Amino acid sequence: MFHLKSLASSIRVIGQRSLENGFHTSAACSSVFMKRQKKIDPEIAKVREIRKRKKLEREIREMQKHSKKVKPVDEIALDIKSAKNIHERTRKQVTLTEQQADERTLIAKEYCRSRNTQMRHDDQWIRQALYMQKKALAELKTLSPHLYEEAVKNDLGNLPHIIDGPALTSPVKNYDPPDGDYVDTTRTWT
Amino acid sequence: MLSALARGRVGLAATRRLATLREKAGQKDPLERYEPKFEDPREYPEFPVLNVRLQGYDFVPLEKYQSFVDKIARRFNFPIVESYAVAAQTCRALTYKPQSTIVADEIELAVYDRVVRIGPVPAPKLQLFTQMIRAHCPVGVTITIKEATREDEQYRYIPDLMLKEKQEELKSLDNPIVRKNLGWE
Repeated sequence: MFHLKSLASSIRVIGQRSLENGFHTSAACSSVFMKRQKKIDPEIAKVREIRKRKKLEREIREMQKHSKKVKPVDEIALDIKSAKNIHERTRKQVTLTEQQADERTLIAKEYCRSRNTQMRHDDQWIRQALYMQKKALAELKTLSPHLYEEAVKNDLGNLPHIIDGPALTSPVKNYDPPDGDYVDTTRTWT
Repeated sequence: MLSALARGRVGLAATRRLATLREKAGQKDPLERYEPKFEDPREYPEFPVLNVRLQGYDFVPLEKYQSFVDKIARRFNFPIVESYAVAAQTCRALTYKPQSTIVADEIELAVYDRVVRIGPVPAPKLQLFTQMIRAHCPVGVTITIKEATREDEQYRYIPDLMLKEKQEELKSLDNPIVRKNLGWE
């Protein structure tokens, strides 16, 4: 009971204060769309409606011209702060001995060769796989048209297909993780 | 000779010897007499547009891998609509001291985001493509293959609140209550 009384008195105090300060706590209800207008002549109403629509459409069109702004991609954008003092962080050019230079060239060449071989193998695999698939599907079509239809259809049921890449290390056995949290700090535009 | 003419695939040299224009034109399929036949080049059912979304904590290998996915898609003869970067999702990872909520350590993490949009993609070929890019997936990268939607497209851009307001206002003019309040009905 006491609580209620105190609550009521506090509310009264707040109410008085707001009145003193000239604040109104009622909801805003003075939009064009909220206030009921007098009924006007249908001819005039029609003209006004067309005018209003045209105006809004034009405004939307104008805004759409300039509105499509891509969210900034920070890792691609130039960091102006560090770009200004870039000369402070330039390193001395390293001169390699002839032996080192040779070694590095050889490694680079070997790497290049290995990538080249891999790409050639991949390419071959792609061509072969496509060829084999085509052949197999043609064969299936003659054997069972129903199964062919099933094999070939674009099934959206499988689709959000998520593949997780390999981890750098294998899982640690009996790992006791510390207490922690993730706080989302993604920039929002609202 | 006539069958070749009927197929309409003979060069100028072959038709030169023929006497009349009618012969030169060759026999035509009655169905193709007034309108050309439009053959559907699609071999299998297709996915119209697909997004291959790549996410990872390290954007240097991620970017390299994006170019690789692009390259492989070209090898499969999938047309590439677009290949772009999306703003990263950032989060702060905290660790607490034992039995408390005092922060022991914290680090800023960003999940970088790259998208290769391909399409149209023949359905059976997608499996081979997936197999290929999965085999080359670098460490710590997550691949998501899904149909491109409007939300994905909108996610790239900063939402324009003023524009949305105007569009809402235009839409509200169809609302009978609003119309009544304006005195139009």
